[in-house]
Amino acid sequence: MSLLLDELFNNVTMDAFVSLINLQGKRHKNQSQLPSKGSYSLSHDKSLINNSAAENKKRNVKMSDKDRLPVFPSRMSLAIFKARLKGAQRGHSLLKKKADALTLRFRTILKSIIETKTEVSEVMKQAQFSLAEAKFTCGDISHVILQNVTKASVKVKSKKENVVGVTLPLFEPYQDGGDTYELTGLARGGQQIDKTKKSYGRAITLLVELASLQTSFITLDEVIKVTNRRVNAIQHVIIPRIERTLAYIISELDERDREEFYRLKKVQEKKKKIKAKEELEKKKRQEAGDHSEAATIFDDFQDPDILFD
Amino acid sequence: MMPEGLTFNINHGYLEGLLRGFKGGILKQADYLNLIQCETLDDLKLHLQSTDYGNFLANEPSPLTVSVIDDKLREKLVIEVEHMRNHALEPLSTFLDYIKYSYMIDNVILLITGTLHGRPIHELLPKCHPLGTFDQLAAINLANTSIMLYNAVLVDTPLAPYIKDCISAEDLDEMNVEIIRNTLYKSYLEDFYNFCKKQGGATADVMCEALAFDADRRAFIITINSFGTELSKEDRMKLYPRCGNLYPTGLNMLGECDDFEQVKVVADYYPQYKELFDNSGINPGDKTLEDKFFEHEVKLMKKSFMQQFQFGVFYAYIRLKEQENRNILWIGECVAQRHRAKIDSYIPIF
Amino acid sequence: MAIAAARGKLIAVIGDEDTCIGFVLGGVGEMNKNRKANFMVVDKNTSVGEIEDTFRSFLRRDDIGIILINQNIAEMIRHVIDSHDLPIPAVLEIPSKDSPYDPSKDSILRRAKGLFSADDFR
Repeated sequence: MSLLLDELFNNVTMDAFVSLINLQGKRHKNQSQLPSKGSYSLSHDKSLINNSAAENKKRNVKMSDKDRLPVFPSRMSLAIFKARLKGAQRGHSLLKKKADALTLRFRTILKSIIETKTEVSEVMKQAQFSLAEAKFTCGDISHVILQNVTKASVKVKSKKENVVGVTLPLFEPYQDGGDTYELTGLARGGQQIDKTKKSYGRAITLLVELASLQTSFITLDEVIKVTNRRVNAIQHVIIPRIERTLAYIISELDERDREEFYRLKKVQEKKKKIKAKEELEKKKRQEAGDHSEAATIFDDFQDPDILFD
Repeated sequence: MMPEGLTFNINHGYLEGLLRGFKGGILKQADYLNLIQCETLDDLKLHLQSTDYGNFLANEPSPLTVSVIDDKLREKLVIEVEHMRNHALEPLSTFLDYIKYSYMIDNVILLITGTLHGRPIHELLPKCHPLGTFDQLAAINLANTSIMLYNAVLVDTPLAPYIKDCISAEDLDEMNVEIIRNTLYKSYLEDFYNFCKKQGGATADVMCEALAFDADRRAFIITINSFGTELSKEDRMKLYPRCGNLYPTGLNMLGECDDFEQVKVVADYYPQYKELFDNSGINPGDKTLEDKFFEHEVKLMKKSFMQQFQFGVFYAYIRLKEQENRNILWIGECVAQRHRAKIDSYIPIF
Repeated sequence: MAIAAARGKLIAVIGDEDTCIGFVLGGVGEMNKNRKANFMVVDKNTSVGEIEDTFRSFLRRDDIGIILINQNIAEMIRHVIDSHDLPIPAVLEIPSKDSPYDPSKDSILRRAKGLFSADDFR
């Protein structure tokens, strides 16, 4: 149940994160609050990849340099994508930091697992030997003990610890109720049995500790894998794609600039030609002695088509 | 002494001779020295083959485990005891039955525990000690509740007098099984003591000393082990067997004890126990008090072989054999767990 | 599950007789209402199938937080242990009396292989 809830929660934060990257341009102020918490799956990124792949097929272009987001090249989208790039880079660095922190923790845990394991084998050895001692003093007690089981007096509580947004389960042993075997070996070997109980109690404490370490180990292992995958996805898929989109937008805008320039030049040239022609006609008219004024806008003025004739 | 010497051999001479032969097979110090040199359990098996045990482990497949050795050792002892029991005549047969009662108590306790916790009884039967089996054990299948167990089975067993004395059917559910066990054992010890006393002669001499020691040891150990538990002083008093040297003044004093030092003070009044308390310690390397008691028991048992024409030797032999089995298992455990530091804390017999 | 967590979880044991006795003495043993114990004594007559079934049933019980299993027994049902990849219940392999502990067989330490050199194990 709670695992499911966790998953759900993670998905929610992930959505927020993705939309943050996507809508970076509108949200500059919130950048510092980027959720470093939670692990989102790659499904969104994947769907993005799938979409653009489909688009590319439609347009029938090469994948390598044309894998970019479908966008109309405008200054507006240039601004948006610049912001998105920034967001992605920021996300990348944050995730990288998270991965680093997790790995650091992971390694400490691994180290203490190995230490505890060695300690456990030592303590277990002692415990087993103390049981042999108890058996030496009071003969065969095994059946009595195994038959006398009722309620566990040692149980474990599970707690949660938070490491960079990953909840690690922690076990903690605690005494619950009295000792069922208090009077075992009353007439013989009670002290030895007591010793055995104590050494096994120590072993149990250590083993519970080891269990916490081990579950943390497994959980962290999983989370680190996911985080690393995400870091790589951002680094190798999302950022290049945004960069390519940006390059496309810029090149399209440049192209449009050049076209505009050419168009202006053309208009200027044409205007020059018309002016020269008008001057020539005016001169001719003056020579012919027509001194009427030039037409004003109050006359029937027709704006000449400059571009297309 | 004289009439015993004349008539004892008519009925019991064969068995005593046989037993003294068995006694010759008890491991000597030299055998132990060989055993503790072993590196593996298979080495141990090899060494045991050169002793009176012969090839009792020959059919066991490798790898050998300590529990297998345990089973086989017990099996051997059971065969010997059963053989003697089958050839015994009154009153030796009753005497041997008395020895078996102590195992019966353990079995009955095991069955009670199992029934209380709802275990199917047929699962428990194989776990009973074979020396403690009795006819009614087969019928125990019928009983599913503790009341039924009490009414249908326990009251018919040889242990019935002890059970009737100290516990009712209701107690079975409420009392701690360990208390039941010790109550039963107490009644049993007292009864056994009286039986031996009735036999008179050398049997009474030897056995009363042995049983008195057993009773005193129980009193001491129960007192020491009860510190820090829920067992109240009144209940503790009820568990002391009243047939030892401590009875009655020593037991009264023990009943008032609150810690180990006070127990020691009580022991100081009895020279034979003072020595045991003085030489024991709880530090590593020291012999524990229980080890000391074991050593003393072995000494007593060995002494009983000095007298002829009495039953004490049978009791002594079984006791010594039990100790020997524990010794072998101890060495086996040490060898199996590669824990050689304490391997020589077994209790040598001869 | 939240209620179970508040109640505290049990430690289950699968092992040879001595291991079970030791831990039961240590206080982990419990019988539930169906008379099912949280430990299993494995002797030489126990079949691998039984061990496997018991192990799986322990995995399914939500009142068990930790499963302790002797390493030599874990070897017998290695595939089941390896396929269990949830953090809870945690499966711990412990040395048994007769066989010393071999870190190279441990499921967890095998996962860690490559992260540490062999010297770190001893």
